[in-house]
Amino acid sequence: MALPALPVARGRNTGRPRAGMSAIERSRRRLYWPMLLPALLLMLLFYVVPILYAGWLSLHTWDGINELTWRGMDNYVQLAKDPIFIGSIANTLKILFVVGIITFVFAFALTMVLREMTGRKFVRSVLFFPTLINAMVFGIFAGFLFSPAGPVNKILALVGVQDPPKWLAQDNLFNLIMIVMIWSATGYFTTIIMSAVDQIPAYYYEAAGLDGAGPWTKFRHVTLPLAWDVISVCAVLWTMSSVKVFELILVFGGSTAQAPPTSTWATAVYVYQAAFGGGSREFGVSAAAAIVSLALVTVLTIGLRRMLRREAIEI
Amino acid sequence: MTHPNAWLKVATGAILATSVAFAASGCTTTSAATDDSSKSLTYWSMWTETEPQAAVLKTSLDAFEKDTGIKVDVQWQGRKVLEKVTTGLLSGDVPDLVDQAYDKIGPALAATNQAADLAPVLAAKIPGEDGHTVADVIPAKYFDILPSYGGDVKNYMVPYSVSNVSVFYNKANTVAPTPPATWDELLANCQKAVEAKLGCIAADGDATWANSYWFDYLVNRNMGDGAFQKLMEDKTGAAWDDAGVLKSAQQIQELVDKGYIIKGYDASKYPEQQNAWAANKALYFLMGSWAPAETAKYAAEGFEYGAFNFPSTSAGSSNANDTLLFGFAVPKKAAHPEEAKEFIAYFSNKDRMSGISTDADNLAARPDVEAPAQLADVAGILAENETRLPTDGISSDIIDKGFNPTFDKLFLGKVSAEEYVKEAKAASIAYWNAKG
Repeated sequence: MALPALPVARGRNTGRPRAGMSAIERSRRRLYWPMLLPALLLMLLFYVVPILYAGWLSLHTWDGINELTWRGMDNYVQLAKDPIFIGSIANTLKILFVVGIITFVFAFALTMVLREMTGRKFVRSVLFFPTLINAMVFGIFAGFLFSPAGPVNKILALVGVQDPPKWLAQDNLFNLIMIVMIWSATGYFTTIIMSAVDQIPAYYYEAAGLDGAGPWTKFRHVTLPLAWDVISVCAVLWTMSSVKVFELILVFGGSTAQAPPTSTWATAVYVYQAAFGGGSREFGVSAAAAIVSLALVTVLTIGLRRMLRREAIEI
Repeated sequence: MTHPNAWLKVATGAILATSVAFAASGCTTTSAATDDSSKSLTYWSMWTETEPQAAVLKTSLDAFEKDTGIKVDVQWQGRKVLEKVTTGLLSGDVPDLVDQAYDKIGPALAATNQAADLAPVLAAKIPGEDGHTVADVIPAKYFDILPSYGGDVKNYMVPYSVSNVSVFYNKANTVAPTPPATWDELLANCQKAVEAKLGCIAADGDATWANSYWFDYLVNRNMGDGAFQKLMEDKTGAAWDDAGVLKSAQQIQELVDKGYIIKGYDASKYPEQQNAWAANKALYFLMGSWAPAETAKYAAEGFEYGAFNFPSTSAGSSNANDTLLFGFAVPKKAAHPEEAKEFIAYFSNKDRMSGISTDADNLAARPDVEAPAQLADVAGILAENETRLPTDGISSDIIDKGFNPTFDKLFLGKVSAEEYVKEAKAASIAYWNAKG
């Protein structure tokens, strides 16, 4: 997507040839729209139109089949008054910040350790492995591992713990969900950040080492600035994926196709439940909740981009 | 400089052509499938092809095709079948026949006025049974309890399979072989179980849907039929002040406080404790009639499935039994509704419906079909008692959002009965306040 070497692509592109341009530049400008249009059309058709439609839907009452009835902003008022929706937003933010920060701290720590390790390619593959596993597997496996008479408690009993924690108790459920997320996301982001770190020439580290820099200083003054672009992209990726967390919660909390406990709902679960979960089939409310999540992720992403904006440093 | 211009024309043409093709292909999906004039029947099933119920239905569908010449197109969609029907209703692509539980068909088809009236099916003669109509063989009470979900059609579903919720126990147990008829007897048996170092009641902390059967039944016994619905649908929350609510909550609290619920229930995932019950680690298990089939693999040697109706709490209390119905419905927009109705009557034949019992180990909707051995008690409970729907058939949205979160706290022993009533009342008011 980046077009670093083409000065024409920068600045205002009106597509209109101007006098005083070279022939090649003019033809390039003429091709601007034809090249852009297919992608633009697809994006309009599959992203923008559905979003606009969801916005339109969120102003109505709809059971999914019959005609829409105008409801104005009432769906949003309903959401604002619904303690379950407020709780879902709080959970989404917890996933975004708590899980996100811990994941990135782990990813950085691993990056620092792995940079100089022998066999790091292998270790990286091992770390990446959890990302490949479907969240469902964790949900089912955790139920087995942490059950009152399960392997974890049996091992604890062997080492003398007679009163083990109630792992799967409802209070712990959301924490357990967050732990699984950290576990599966760490490998993913470590892999991406590592690939950026691999591009940093070794002599920067050597030079820093000669100047007496320890691992932390090397990380702070060499790794971080030189991998900054990739890190900020990772942060945006995480923001977007955290708002979409859905199936893990559904599998962890929901037994036999029932809704998971509301204390574990994130906004995506709320959206699903409003439309398909209960007997209510409130597609309007569901659409409103989706629009609120979209607004949330947009604001957060823009904020994050601004916060992380720095001058790119060329290697 | 004609080159780029020519190129531009080609490119624009290509893009236009693609977008037209896109639009065209978008249209074709909605306008297809109206050409078959011969008799046919499209059935979308709630079962997947490998389930025994599917085999039972398939046998009858094949026979139906042979007997009537109506070509049957069956799709084994699985439990989410109605979500597909809902999407299909928008594009006009709907099956002629569909099946699910009443609480799935109701909100999807009855509430939206998309279900055909099946009253004519009730009056239809069953092929192969001289003169009997569907209404003669399927009890009227099953139709009477169906909630309308605010729709216009009352008979939107004809059940072929029934489940009910009762307390299961091992008849071969030596701790308390006689089933209790009253709440006090149940508590006395629980005491015996605890003294014998056994759990009394099996439950999984995360299966709120099953645990809430206890409260739902207690409210029904203490406050009468329809009381649970009134409690949930009271927007002012005043119904929570009724003494019967506190009494029901206190009865749950007693089970928790006295350790009558199996140890570890508050940190287990369904069906962990269900299996523990089958392994004789607890005396009682309040569950739907699918419990024997689900636990068969885990059952202790010599386990004899028995069941009793939820005990009464006082002399005059209701004896209603929670019943769940599974059956057929016909979407209003179906292309071949008559064929669908014909099949419903065809499948209501005793021999054909008996496969539900003999092959699928479920209760058939016809009481004259003999129940599978492990459900003999359950069939008796169903026949002898009044019938009600779990949670009086109210929308599961209220249950999920308004009821469950606070009920969990009571059942998991985190709040006292008094605190529970206060919190539940507030939660109920908040739910209705948000609904506006």
